[in-house]
Amino acid sequence: MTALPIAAVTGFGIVVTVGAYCISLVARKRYPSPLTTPVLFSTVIIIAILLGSGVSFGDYGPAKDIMTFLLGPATVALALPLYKNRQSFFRNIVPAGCGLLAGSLGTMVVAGLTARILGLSQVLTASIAIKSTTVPIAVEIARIVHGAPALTAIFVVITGMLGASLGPWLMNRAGITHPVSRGLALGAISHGQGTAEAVVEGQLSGAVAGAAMALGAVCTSLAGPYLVPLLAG
Amino acid sequence: MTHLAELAESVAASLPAPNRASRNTMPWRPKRSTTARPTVSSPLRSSPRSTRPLLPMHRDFLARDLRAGDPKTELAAEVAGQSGTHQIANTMIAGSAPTVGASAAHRSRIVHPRLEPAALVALQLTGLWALNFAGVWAVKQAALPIPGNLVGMLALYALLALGVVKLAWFDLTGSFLLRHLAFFFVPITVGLMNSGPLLLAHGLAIMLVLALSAAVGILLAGFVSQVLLAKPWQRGGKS
Repeated sequence: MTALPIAAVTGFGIVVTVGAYCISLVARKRYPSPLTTPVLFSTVIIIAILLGSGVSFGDYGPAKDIMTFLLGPATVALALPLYKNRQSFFRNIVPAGCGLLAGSLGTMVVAGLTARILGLSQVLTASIAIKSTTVPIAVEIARIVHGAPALTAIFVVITGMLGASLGPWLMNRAGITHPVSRGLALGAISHGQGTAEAVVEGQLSGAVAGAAMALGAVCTSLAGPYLVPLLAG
Repeated sequence: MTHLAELAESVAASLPAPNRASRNTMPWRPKRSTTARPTVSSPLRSSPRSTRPLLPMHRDFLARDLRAGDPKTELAAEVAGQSGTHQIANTMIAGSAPTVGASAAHRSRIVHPRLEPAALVALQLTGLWALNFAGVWAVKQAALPIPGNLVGMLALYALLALGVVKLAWFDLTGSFLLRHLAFFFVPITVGLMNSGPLLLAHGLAIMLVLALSAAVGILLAGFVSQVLLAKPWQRGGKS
């Protein structure tokens, strides 16, 4: 593979990534399940193809840089759901704000402490503590707190899947019935996937979740750089 | 004209969606309101639309938005005396940045109804990119431990809240990017191919940490907000 020019490998990387993503969209439509989440599904396909054709992650680097170029603008666009849904959040600013703080900080502390107790490395602890944030922002926080962006990204995605699939059941068990509370919990902890779940539960839940996703990211970004060094040691 | 229109739009935006829809008797209005409904355009929303192939969907989406800028609807809006938000929005879309002066607005009028969707997306994207760049730059200058893209996001929110920019300027491209947000971070997760052994060694512990912390976070957020939503301090005062 080293004999091939960089441009060819980069083109190959982009084609494989776009192809895998399109396949994952079709797969999610046909067989909706947590395992066909586009991120997970296409990541597995891409890694399999890259390993099979002998392309290393270093060779894939230029293609990665080209494709993640739009991640920044996409993150800025998160202001749109926050703006559209601001009313449903700010109308309940005290309960929603306190719930958001408790949830975002609580999950960070619990994740950091249990990771520490289970003997995970410093990098893993830092990467896992900030996982309740939407991926593009989590990846940036990971760089700041000396975590591993790729690990953080996958932890975020798994958290999204866990929260979106088990969250509603858990809240039913715990007697959390208020649509604002349910949307807030799903959006703050399970970001994108949780918001998608909350939208299914109802309009108010979905709107609060959309705002909670963006504000939860603000919470974690502000607290993370100070809290994570304490937790990761 | 812009001041009144801005005011009218901010009032309209602050109203709940049903009122907004019922207020509009224009036949073209409800069609538009489906794009601006208050539910979230979440990146991973499982809408049937998002599973279609990329290009036709995108084109369809663009076409719908451009229809709102049809000269006939603009005229209808003028006649209705509400100096249609779409007209302003569509004129302004063409000049992505808030600082654009009259010349750009003028130019966009000429290109306007036939403005190429690709050009529209490119301009909106440039605006979003500029905000991101500004955020990254500001964080670097201030040496703050905050993600630059988050600052960009907050800047866009502030501009929207202050009425400096309109939702419609970014809605088309922004919604598209958010719907396919997952695509943009797939290349990052591919980096896992270098950390396979690490994940295999600690897989169980990692899943335990993730499940436990997600459960605690959801319950904390849910409980705290629900208890406070019941307004215990008011009940205490009455009884």
